[in-house]
Amino acid sequence: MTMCSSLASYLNRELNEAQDAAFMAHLADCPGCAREVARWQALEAGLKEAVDRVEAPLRNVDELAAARMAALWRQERNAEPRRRSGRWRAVAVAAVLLALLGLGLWRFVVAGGSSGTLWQAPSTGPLTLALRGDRIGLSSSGEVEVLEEGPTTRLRLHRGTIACAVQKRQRGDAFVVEAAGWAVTVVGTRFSVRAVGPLSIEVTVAQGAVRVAGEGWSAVVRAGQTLRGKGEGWHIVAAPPPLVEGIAALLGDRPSVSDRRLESAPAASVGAVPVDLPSASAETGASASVPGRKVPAVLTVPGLRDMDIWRDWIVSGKTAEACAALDRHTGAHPMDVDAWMLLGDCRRKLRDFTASADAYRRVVSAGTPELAGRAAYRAGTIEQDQLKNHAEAVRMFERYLQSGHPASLAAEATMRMAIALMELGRTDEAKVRLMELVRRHEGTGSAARARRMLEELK
Amino acid sequence: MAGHPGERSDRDIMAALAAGDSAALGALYLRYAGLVRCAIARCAPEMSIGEVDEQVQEVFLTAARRSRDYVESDRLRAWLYGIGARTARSWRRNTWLRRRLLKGREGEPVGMAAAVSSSPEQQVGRREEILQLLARLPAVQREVLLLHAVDGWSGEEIAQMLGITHEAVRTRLFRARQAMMAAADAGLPASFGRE
Repeated sequence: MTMCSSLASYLNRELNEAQDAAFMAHLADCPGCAREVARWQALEAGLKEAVDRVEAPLRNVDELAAARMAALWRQERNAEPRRRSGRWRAVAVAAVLLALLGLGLWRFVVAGGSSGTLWQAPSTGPLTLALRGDRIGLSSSGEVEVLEEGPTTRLRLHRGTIACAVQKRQRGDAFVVEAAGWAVTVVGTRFSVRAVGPLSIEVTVAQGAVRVAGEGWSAVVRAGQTLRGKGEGWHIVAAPPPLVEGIAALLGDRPSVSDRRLESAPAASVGAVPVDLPSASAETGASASVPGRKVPAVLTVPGLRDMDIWRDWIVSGKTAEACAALDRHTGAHPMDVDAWMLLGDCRRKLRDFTASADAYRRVVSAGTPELAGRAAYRAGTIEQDQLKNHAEAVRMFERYLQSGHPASLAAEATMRMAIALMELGRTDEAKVRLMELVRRHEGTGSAARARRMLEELK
Repeated sequence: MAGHPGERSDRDIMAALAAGDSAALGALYLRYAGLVRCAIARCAPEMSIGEVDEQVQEVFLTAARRSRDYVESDRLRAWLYGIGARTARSWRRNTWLRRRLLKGREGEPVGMAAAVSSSPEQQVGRREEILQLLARLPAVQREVLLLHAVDGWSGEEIAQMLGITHEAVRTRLFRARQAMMAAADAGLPASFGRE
């Protein structure tokens, strides 16, 4: 390869310091390249000046426009809920299930005068709110907004699951929970609401009754029943015991729920199976909508709740159980990169390094740039430190550096890559990486170490 | 990004926005509306100033709605630029029929579109000449060239912002440079740089 072939890379500013210096030395001896560089640099300077001058007025932003922007956003957040489109919105799809976990950690907050307040539960456990005699249990990492508080109370569930113990109200007053475009209205009862997906909801009643309303229809759900609704269809089944017990747990009435119940709970709502709507049934007391119309059962997001539970198992030392659950889950959902990432962490804790690296590699190939970057870095460290597979370590660190995510690990990754290259006898490439480390991370400990290594390699 | 002591960092602003602080959106707007305006004007040079402002608003509302998606390690500038560019391209797709029908009767264009002389035969200065060269590039090449040569983004950053490969960025840059230099040498042909 001749130096002339580096012209494009030079103009793209892709050369490292050493390559840059070498190419500039080449310019002194190559009139052709020198002419091209001069032509482009003149044009580029003119381009920059012309565009900057033209775009300068566009860059003027005044405080008034900024204030209008803030007001627009406030308006949108306070607007009445409207039916969401069918598009999948990961942020709106939260929750999962009830009952957090047998950690026995919960917080109790008296939320007086909290209209317009957003409440967020910590990731370590549920949060319980008291609203004028009503009690709300919010699952860990959940978010609920109190829109109105008083004889009529309105909540909007943004993420997670809430369980509610609601005081009986006078005629005309109501307790309303909005979630995923649905409204759950109660008059004195204990129930839970879970927003499962876009336009999908699951409501379980432990005591009393609630009315669940969609567009143009409504249904009454009584104690011991669970309504599952998606789009315009819904059906009512006998409430699975874990869901009913979970209401008490989330409200703080019962500090722990056994793992067995938790493990069985998600299975009750996994998968999509076409079911016929039940006709009026003595067992459920439900009134069906359109007889004979098939409605898919609710799709549980193999999502937030399961992941929360598995993470908590790992934290509380039940790594093997979490691993087994994740193994089953990734078998059924091979594209769930978050689960693969967690499985990689699990396997690593269990010191099954080969399987851990394999799990991370799944994320590298299918994850978002950010997740793939993290996974590549973790796989690289395992390959290097535990498996002594330096060639694979180089490949993983290269992959991480290409992703640029997270940027905080770049210096360490470059250093590890250089070390792996030296193990493989690829000293020249190692030197290039070390010089790059010194250039890009000047002033860091890694850069100082790189300088010393470069000295030793001379 | 905090330019002065006491100025909120990008991270703090995004965290506040994700927590529901609407004033944080005002701060974000003040900091990056200029960047987003330029992004939109570049990607959709046919837009009038009114339309640009509308689309800018939409970009920031989108950023607010997606504030929880924002990952701290992402460069906020690149993230917002990406949203702006996609918003502008979406506008172009959705309005192509209207623009064809109303050609010549739209509002005043902004940015580089406004600066480019409508008549190539007119005596133009160096600046206008360069802008005309630029206007004749295919949009995908022009976008990459501006991000690299004017804004100083690296090839890797541009690839991430636009959701394309680094190799695609290199190819577009190479073709854009070649086209600009060839046209600058030869005067102003009717069209050049077509892929």
